[in-house]
Amino acid sequence: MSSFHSFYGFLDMGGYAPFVWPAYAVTFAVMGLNVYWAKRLLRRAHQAARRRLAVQEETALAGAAGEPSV
Amino acid sequence: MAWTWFHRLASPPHIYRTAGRLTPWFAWPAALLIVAGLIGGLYLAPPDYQQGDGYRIMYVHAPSAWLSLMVYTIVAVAGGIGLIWRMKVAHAVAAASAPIGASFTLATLVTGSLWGKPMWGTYWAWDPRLTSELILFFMYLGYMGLRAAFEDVQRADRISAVLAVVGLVDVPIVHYSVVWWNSLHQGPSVMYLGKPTMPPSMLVPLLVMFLGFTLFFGAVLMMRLRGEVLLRERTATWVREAIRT
Repeated sequence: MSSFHSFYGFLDMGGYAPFVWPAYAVTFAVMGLNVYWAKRLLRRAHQAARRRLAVQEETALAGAAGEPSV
Repeated sequence: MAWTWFHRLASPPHIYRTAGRLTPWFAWPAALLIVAGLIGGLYLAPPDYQQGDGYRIMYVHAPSAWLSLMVYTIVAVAGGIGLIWRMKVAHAVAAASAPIGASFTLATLVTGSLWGKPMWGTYWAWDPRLTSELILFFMYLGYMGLRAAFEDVQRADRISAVLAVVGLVDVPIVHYSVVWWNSLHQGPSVMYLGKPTMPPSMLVPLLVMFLGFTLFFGAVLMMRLRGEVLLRERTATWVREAIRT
């Protein structure tokens, strides 16, 4: 099935190991970072929305109590 | 009545929920396809008659390059739709896509460079394909930099969309550069004159990787889109329910 005769042969990539493996490493690092950045963006958007809602509720309460609202 | 689907599509709460639901449907097939493509491309596929095992860089380089072009097209088209129909969700798609596209453009340049060294004897040349891809990377950076320069999301959306649409001219230039000019870069390898240039044992893992990378983009886009949609909702009551669950 495979074109490689041994595990060493696979790692060696026919002598192209110094180019093939870094190329794969860079691509998968980019993929991992994409997932991390996406999760971070969503988390920050949630935090920002939560803060906004808290401010809105405070001003609404202040308004109901007869104080000047911002 | 026929337009209700369009309004539903454009409604932020609907997008927020749907994107959340769709994420695993993109992510799991993407993961499976990429693992299958890795086994097929790195292990099962035969070595190339000219490039030996060095050509295996193709299995990450070509799908990254495909994403770099496809995602830029999405940024420009979504930005254009946002400009014309004043659709917040379209702008959110553009803003969410750009960093993903930029990162894969960088991956394309780096993996291409690592492929170029053993095959052409150089990491870099000011060749039409390489140069136009580098310009694409700068277009992404310009788009993201321009967005970051505005405090107001709506202004950032409109102004960056104009830049994205103008920059779209680079996409066909990247794609056809190997056909129009005498390039160091090899020609199209999936299809040439309507026939694949590779035997199925090489081609199938590549097609699997193309699909896997595209679905991966879909999964990351769904996650980012939810964030971008939330950032654009100032007072909506649905946000209250969305973030409490």
